[in-house]
Amino acid sequence: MSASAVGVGRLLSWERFAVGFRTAFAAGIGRWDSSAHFARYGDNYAEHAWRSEFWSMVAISERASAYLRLPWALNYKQVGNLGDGAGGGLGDIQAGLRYEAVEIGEFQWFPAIALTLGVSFPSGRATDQAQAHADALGTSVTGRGAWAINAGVSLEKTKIPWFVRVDLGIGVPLPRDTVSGQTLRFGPQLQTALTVGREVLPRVVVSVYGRLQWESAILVAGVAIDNSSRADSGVGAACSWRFDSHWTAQLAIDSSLAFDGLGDNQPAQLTSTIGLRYGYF
Amino acid sequence: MSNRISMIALLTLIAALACTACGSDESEINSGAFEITAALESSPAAVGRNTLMVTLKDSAGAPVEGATLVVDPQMLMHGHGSTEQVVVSEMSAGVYKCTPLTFQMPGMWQVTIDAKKGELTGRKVFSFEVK
Repeated sequence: MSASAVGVGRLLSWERFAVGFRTAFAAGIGRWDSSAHFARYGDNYAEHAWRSEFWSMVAISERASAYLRLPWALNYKQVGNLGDGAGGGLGDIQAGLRYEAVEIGEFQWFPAIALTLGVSFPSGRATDQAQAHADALGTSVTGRGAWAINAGVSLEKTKIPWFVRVDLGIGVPLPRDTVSGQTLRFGPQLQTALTVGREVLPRVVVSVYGRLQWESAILVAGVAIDNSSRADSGVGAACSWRFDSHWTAQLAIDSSLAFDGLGDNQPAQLTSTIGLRYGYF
Repeated sequence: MSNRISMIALLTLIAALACTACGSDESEINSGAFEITAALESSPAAVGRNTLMVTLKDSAGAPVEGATLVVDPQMLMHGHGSTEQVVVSEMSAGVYKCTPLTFQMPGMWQVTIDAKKGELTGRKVFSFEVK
């Protein structure tokens, strides 16, 4: 039982593969500065994004599966006297493996445990690459320009009709050279989320979650940049409806906790997501 | 049990999050053979295109003409620079106009000015919050 608002979730035990499409509109509402003070965007600045992705997941053994995520984004920005505009493109492609170390229901009192290991490809355009494309607004920025290794663990305990899931993840971006020739390395990123859900109707699962993300300081030429660590927190709700034995509709809403001290050096957004999933068995 | 551990981890992260606050006021660092002063044509700095006026003097206080200036705006805390190249033109003796100084997003930006004339060099770095 699951209503996943992040990631691609997992295959049901009888599925051979699953594919899906999701699209999300993220409205920028403000940002935390490097003192963790939150400020709403003023009239002179707006930042919204329409992000979509195709994803697929295929079973490679009884417990292991592989996934691929193909994201792209359309960004809209209004920046003071630069005016406004939209742009976008392919984002950072992600691929990885998921291993169900303990499956749901395998042990009565023990939670299901899933391990993931993935890689993020720098297929999107990074901010420093926007200048070379005469994109003053930066709307063509869809990625971070760096390879990253991601690992995670997901613990899920089910007691029908309820479930509780804890997701913990770490992302380690690799160093990269910027357009100006400097070596830049984003700091390792920690993510955690706590989700509580319930099957409210047959095949309809609703969940709520809280999430935290923290990223350590950026290194430029091996030197840590002061105040460059980031943090973000948010809450959300998701609903999934398996309206057919193969098809599931997904709906989610996510909001940053846009208050002083609950984020750092990071934009805050309100994001609405709809998705459709097909599972083959 | 796992829920309890998860809650402890969550609270620890919240505590860590609350301790991340550390501010950065406007600051300037001047070094080298020149006295470099700079001011935005329109203050305070705003998102979008800005113009920076730079005055270059030597150690005796005389204007420095014909120097080469490189102006590099960086949003270091996000790991990127500006989306536009700054063009420098000398307006009068020792006075240089640097535009567009583009800040494509709000936040703390650092602007580095490197000046060079012959064998002499100088650098000025300042940072400020763009709103």
